[in-house]
Amino acid sequence: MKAFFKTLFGDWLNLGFVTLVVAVEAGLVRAGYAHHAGEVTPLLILAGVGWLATR
Amino acid sequence: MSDWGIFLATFLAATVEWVEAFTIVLAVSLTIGWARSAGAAATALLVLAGMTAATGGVLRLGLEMHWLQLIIGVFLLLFGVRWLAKAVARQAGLKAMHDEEEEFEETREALEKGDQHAAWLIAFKGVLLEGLEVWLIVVALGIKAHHSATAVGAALAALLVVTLVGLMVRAPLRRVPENAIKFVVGAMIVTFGTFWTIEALGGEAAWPLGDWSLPALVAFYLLGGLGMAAILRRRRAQAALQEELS
Repeated sequence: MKAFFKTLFGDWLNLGFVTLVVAVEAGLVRAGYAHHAGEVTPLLILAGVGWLATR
Repeated sequence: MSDWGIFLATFLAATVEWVEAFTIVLAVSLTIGWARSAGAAATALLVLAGMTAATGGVLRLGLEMHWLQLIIGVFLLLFGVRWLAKAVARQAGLKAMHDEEEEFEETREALEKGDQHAAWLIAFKGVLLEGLEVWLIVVALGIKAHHSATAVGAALAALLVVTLVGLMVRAPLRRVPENAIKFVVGAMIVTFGTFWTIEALGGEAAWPLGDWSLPALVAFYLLGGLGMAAILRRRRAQAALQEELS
């Protein structure tokens, strides 16, 4: 079961980071900046990838 | 999204996973023979096929397209971010490269302590766990674009190639450039995840360039990931130098 969870979600850091990404996307869309979400999200994800790589 | 995009992403991801699964089956075959270890692998593949068929059906039931798109996009982000981060860490030297030879030896050592039943279970579990990631990609990429046959075909093609090459060399497939493949697949999967989650939340207007945004995003994540790895590698070298001097 633990291995199944790990395959689907990764670890807690990965899960937390992706939750943050989706929350930021939803926030931008709700605030009327949907067209900026496509610019902000890739930058955020790349920064997160760099951070996760050092963990 | 084109058939080729789905085929390539699924084929590359599946190749990496099947190579790892093959290494385990090969190690187990030395203990309980090819017939039984292949039987364990086939049983795991049957379970995965059943899961793929069942999940595809369940996900299509009663869910509106934008919810389905969001759920799948989130899973692709969960999967892709992990792969890309791992590829960056390995490229930067922060994490050891995956070594099939080492995996092979570790499995053999574990088998020496166990019985034949345990060996069968190791092969079954190995193929099932590696195959779970393939299942996730096949279901995710196949459902959204209604291209299940392409995704399933790509996963099966990868399985066929890895099995044939593996049976020919009868050794762990260590020449597969696993980290390079992980980089490309990670970038592609994160791209699909980014595109679908934003489109699900904000509608098609969120991507003014439409599907043309996809190659731009892949290039951004690929080049950005390589740049990130170079920065991390330099930082690591500087830290090591400072430690040496102090």
